[in-house]
Amino acid sequence: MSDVLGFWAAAMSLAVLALPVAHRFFRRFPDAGAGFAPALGLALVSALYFLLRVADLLPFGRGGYIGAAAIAVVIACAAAGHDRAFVPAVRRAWPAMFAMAGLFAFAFFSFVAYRSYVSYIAGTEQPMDFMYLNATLASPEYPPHDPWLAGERASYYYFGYVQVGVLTALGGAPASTGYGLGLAWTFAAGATGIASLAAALARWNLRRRRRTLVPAAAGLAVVILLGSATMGGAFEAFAAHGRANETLFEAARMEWRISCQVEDRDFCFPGPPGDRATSWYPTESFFGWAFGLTRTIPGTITEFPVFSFLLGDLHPHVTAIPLVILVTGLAVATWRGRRPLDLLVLRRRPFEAIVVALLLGALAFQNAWDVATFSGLFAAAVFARNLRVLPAGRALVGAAGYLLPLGIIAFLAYLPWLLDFSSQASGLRPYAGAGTEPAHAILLFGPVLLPSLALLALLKPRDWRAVVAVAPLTAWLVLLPLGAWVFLARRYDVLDAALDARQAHGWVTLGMYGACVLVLSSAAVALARRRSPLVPLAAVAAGGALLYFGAELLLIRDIFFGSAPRLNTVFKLTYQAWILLSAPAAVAIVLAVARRTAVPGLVAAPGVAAVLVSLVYGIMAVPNRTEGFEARTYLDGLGLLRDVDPAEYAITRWVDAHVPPGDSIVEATGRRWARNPQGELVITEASVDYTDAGRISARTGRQTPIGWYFHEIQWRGATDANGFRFTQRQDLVDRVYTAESPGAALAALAELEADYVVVGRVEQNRYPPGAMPDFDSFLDLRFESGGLKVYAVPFSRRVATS
Amino acid sequence: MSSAPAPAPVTSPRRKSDTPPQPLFAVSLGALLWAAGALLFLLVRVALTWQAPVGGAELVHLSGAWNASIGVSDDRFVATLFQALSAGLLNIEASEVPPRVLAFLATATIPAALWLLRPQLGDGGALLALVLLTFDPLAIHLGVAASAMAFDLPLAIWLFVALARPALPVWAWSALGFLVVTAGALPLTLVLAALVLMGLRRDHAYRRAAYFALPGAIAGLAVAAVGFGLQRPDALVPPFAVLAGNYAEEWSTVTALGGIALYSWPLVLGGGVCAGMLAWRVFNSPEPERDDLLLLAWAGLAFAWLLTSLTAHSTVPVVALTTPLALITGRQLAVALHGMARVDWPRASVFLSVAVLAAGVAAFYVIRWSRVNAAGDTGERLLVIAMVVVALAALAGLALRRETLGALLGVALAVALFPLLSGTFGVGLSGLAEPVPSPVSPLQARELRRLALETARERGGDVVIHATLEEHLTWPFRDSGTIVVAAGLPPGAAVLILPANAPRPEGFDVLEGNWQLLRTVDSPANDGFLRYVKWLVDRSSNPSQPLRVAVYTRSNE
Repeated sequence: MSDVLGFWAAAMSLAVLALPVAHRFFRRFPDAGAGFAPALGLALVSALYFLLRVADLLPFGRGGYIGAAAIAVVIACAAAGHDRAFVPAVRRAWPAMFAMAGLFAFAFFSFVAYRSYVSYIAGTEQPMDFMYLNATLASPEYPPHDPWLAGERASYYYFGYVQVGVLTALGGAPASTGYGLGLAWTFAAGATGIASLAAALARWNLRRRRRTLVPAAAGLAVVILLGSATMGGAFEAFAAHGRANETLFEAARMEWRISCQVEDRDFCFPGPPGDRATSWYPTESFFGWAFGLTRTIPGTITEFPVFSFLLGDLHPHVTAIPLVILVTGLAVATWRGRRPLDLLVLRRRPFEAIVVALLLGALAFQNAWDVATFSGLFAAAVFARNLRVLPAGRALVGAAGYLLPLGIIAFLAYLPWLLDFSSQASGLRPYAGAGTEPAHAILLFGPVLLPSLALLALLKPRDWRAVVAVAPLTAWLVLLPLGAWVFLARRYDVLDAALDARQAHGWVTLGMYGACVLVLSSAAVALARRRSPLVPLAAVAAGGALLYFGAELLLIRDIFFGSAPRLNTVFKLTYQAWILLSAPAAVAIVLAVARRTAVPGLVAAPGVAAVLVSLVYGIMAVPNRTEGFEARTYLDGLGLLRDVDPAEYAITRWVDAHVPPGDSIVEATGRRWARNPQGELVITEASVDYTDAGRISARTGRQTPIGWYFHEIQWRGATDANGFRFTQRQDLVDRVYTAESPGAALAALAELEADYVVVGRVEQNRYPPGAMPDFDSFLDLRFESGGLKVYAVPFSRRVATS
Repeated sequence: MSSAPAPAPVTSPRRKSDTPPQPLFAVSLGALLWAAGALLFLLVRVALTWQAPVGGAELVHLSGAWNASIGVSDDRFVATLFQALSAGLLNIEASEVPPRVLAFLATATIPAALWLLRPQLGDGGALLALVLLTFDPLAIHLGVAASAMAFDLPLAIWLFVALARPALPVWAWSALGFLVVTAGALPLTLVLAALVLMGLRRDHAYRRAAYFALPGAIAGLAVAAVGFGLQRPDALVPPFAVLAGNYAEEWSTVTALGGIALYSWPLVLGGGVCAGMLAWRVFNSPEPERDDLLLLAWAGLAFAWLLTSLTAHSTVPVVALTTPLALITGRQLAVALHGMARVDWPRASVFLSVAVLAAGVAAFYVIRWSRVNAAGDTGERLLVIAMVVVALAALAGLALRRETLGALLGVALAVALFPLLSGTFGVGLSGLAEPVPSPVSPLQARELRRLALETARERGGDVVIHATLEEHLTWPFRDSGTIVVAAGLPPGAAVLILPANAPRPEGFDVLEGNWQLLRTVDSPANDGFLRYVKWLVDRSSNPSQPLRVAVYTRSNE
C-alpha cells in the first residue's frame, strides 16, 4: 500500500507544481487549470528528465528523477512568483481545485482497487508495455535502449512509458507495481482533464443562475469518456442470457454475437444460441465478448477508453489520453484569448512558448498518431483567434509566425528521440473497401456523436441562416478528403475497384459522417462571428466527426496493409474522436436540459439514450473481468507469478537486483524445439510474439539479443536486412541452448556479446530435455532457485591496482 | 532676587593609582563558552579521523578515488572536489587518513561559521546550534569520513552564512558556485531553497548572488565533467550523481529511517517542533524575515528529500535535515531556555518526581525484557503500561499550568540527552558494534591481500578475484600491482579468492582460515523495540555479519 500512496503523492506533487504553469494558460477556466495540472506537471517533468538524461546532466536511477523534480520545483516557484494573478486565482478557484484533487484521488484509488483483481502483467501486448516501462527505468543511457534488441536504442513512441517511469521512480514503487499505478494515473488524470474542459465549456455557455449545472457537465463528461462504450454491450446482455431478438440483432448487424451458427465471423460466440451466462453479467471470457465488441467492424479495431482500462495494456494511445485532453483544453483556452498571436507574443512570453512547444512535441513522442490531429486543432484555434481581430491574411501570417517557432522548438527538443525513431507509416492511401455499416457506426460511435449533435438544437433561428450561408465555405472540409480519396485512388490505380467495393451501406455511413462534419463546422464558423461560447464545442465536435469521416476514406499505410489495411487508421482515429467528442457530448446534453424547452430536450433525447445504453458494456465488463470480484488481488503485477512459480519469480528478481543495467542476458527466443524421429533438433513452433519470449528482459529492462521478432520488424521496418539480422540472432540464441559442446555455446555467446544466460521455466519448456549443454561445467553459476539458474558468461581481465 | 551661581564642585583629578587595575585582557563568559563549544565540537571528531574503520559511503568513494588516482575507470568516482582531492592525496599516501584530515579541517570551520551567524540566530542560539551539531552522531561521521560528501556539511553552513550576510565580494560568490556544483547533494537543498525564494519573492539579493555564482558554477561543471582531469565520470553534475548514489548504493547498512530511529530522533522531533513554531511565527508575520523563510524552505526541502529516502541505504538525508533543524532549534531553544527561569520549580518538582519515578519503573522492566528479547507476563505488562500512563499524566500535569509548562523543556532535554550522548560517543569512538559506519572493510581484508600477494609471488601466477567480489576488494587490495578479475577459472591463477559458497576448483587447495572481506553491523532498528532498547543500554550487544570468502592456492604438483 505504501507504493500506492507514494505514487499518488508523487502525482499530486507534480500536479501542484504545475498549477502556476497551468494558470498561465487556463486562467479563464473555473478551476484555473487544476484539472489539467496532473497531465501538465507530469508531461513537463518527464520532458525535462528526458532532455537532461540525454544531455548526461542527470544520472541513472531514482536520483535522476528526484533531480528533475527538484528543478521543476524551482521553475514552478519562479512561474508563481512572476504571475501576480496566480495567488488571487488560487483564492478564487480553490473549491474547484480541491474538487479536482478529490476527483483525481477518487478515480485513482477506485482504479487501483479494480486493477488489483487483474494486476498480472501478461497476455496481449502487456509484456511489451512492461518492457518499455522497464527500459525507461533501467536504461543506463538515454535515449533508452531496446531490451528486446541488445545494442540498439528503442524505436517507438515511448514518452508515455517515460512518464509512468517518472511517477514510479518518484513514488519509490517497483516497476511491476508502477505499471498498474500508471494506468490508474492515466484514468484519474483523464477524468480531471475532461472534467475541467467540460466545466469550462459549460460555464461559458450557461447563464449565471444555471451554473449549478457545471459540475453535472463535468461529471457527465467523465462518465462518457471513461464509462461509456459501444452500445453493442446491451446486445451482448440479451444474447448472453438467451434473449436475443434475431430481427433486432440483424437490423443492428449484431447477429454474430448470438452465435457463430447464426453468423460465422471473427469473435462470434462459438457455442449454440441460448442462455450462456451463469450470472447477471456475461460470464464468457472477457477476451471473447468484450474484446470481440471492439472488433465489431470487420478488419478494424474500434476501442474506447473503458475497454482500454479494463484490458490493462499500458499502450501509447491510452497513456496519451490526459495529454490529448490537455492539448484540446489548450486549444480551447487559446481560442478564448483576446489578443492576436504572432511571433512577438513568443518573444514576450518565451516560457509559455517553450511549454506549448514541449506539449505539442510530446504528442508525437507519446503517440505519433496524435500529433497531426491535436496540433492541428491547436493551430486551428490560433488561426481562429487571430481571425477574430485581424483580416484573414494577417491572421494567417500571425498564426504562422506563432506556430512555426513552436514547431521548431518541439522538433529540436525531441530530436534525440526522432533520430532513433523509425515510423511504420509509409504514406497515405485510399480506403478501397466496402465501408462501415451504418448500424455499426451508430452502435459504436453513437454514444459520443449523437449527444454532440444536440448542440445544433441550441442554435437560434438567425444562427441557422448563418450556418446555411457559411456552408459553402466549410464544405471544403468534406470535399477535400473526398478529393484526396479520388486523387489517391487514381494515383494507385484503384479508383474503379474502390468504387465497386464500397457498398451502399458504406456510402450511407460516409454521407452521415460528412453531414455531421458539414453541419457542425458550419455552426462553428457561423457562431464564431458573434464570438459565441458554443464555438469551441461545435469546433471540437466537428473535429471528432471529421476523424470518423476521414477514416472512411483514407488510411495510413503500415505493416498491416496487406492483411487489414485500415486496422490502425480506424483504431487510432476513432479513439481520438471518442476523446474529442466526450466533452461536447456531455456539455451539449447539459445545455439542452438547462434550456428547459421541448426542442433541445427532444433533440438531446437520442443522445441521452445512447449514453445510457452505452454504459451497459462497462457495467457488465467490470464484474466479468474481475470474476465477480472474487479473483485474487495483488498490487504487484508479478504477484501472481510469485505465488504460482516462486522459482521463476526469484530468478527474475535476482536479475533485476544483480545484473548491471548495461549488461545483456540470453534467454529463450520463444521458438519451440523438439527432436524429430531421426533424433535431430527441429523447430516446431516459430512464432514468438505474444508469448513469454523475452520475459526476463521485459520484466527487468535488461537487454536480450532478440525478443518479439515481429514487433521488432514493426518498429524497425519490414526489410530483408532486419529479417536476416533478427533471425540470425534467434539462431544464435537457440544455438546457446542446443549446443553440442561448450565451445559451440561459448562461441555463440561471444558472438552475441552476452553477459548472462538464464535457464528458467521457459527455457526448460522450449528446448527438449537433454538438448541443453551442461552449463554448470563451463559457465559461472550466479543464482539458483528451484532448479532454475542464472549463469554469468566466463571472462577474465587484468586490473591494475597501483 | 537673584541667587549666586552655585559654586562648581571642586573635584580633584583622581590619581592614576586610585583606579582599579585594568586586566591585561578580559575574557567574557560568552567567549569562554564559544571556545569550549568549538573545542568539544572538534574533540568528538578527532578520534574518528585516526581510528575509524573505512566503511559505508567512505569505502565506496575512497575506492572510486583510488581507482581514479591510478587511471582505472570506476563509476564510484563521482568527481566531487573532495573526491578529486582525495585521489590526489592517495597518490601521495595510500591511506585513508590524509583525506580524513582534510575533511576534518573543513569541518573544523563550522564553529567559525556559526560564530558569524550570531546576528541571525542570536548569541545563545548560534552556540546552541553548535552544541546540537556537536552531538549529532550522523553529522559527526559525515563530516570526518572521506566520502565524496565530506565538504557538504561545512559548505552548506558557510553557504547559509553567505546567504544570510549577502554583502560578499563577487569572487566569493563565484567560489561558492564552484564549490556547490562540485560538492555532494546536501548543499543542494539549501541552494534549491534559495532559488525557490528567489522565484517566489523575486528577491534581489539572492538574484545578485545567483548571477555572481553562475560563472563559478559553470567552471565547476566544466571541471567536474572532465573529472578534474582524472577520469570522466558517468554523470556530469556531481551533486546529482551523489543524489543518485544515495538511492542506488549501499552507503550504510542502516536506512535513513533507521538512522533517525537509532541516532537522530531527538534532533528530528525537537527540530520539527521548533520548525513548526517558527513557521507559525512566519505565517503570522506581515513582513517575515528572509533568513527565517530561507531556514524553513531549507528544512522543508531537506524533509522532502528525507521522505523520498526513508528506505534508501544512506543516512545523508538525515543529516541534510538535522543541519537546518539545528540552526532553527538553536535559536528557538535559546528563547525557550529563558522561559525555564520562570518555572515554578517547587510545584513542578512534584510532577517531575512522579514522572521520573514512574518512567524509571517502566524503564526497569523494559530493559529487563530487552535482555531476553521478550516482553514479560501480563502483570508486568500492565504495570509498565500503568507506569507509562502515570508518567504521561504527570507530564500532562506540567503542561496544564502555565507556570510549570517550561519544565517540560527540561524533560525533553533530559530525554534527548541520553540517546544523543551515547550515539555521539558510539560513533565518535568507532564502537565495533556501531551500525554507523557499516559495511566496513575489516583489517583482515588487508591481511588477506598480503597473504595472497606473497603466495602468488612464491608460486608464480596471478591473484584471481571473482567478479562478484571486485568492488569490495578495490580498497583493501589497493597498491597490489596487477590482479585478475574473472568469472570462471582463468589460466595462470596462483591464488583464487571466491565466494564462500563456490565449489572448490580442481587443482587448488583451500587456504584454511576464516576470511572476511567485509563486515556489516546489523541495524537494531530492524528487530523491534526491545532489540533497540537492548542496543541502547548495551551498544556492544549488536551482532555483525561478515562477508566470508574462500581462498584457494594452486596445488604444488
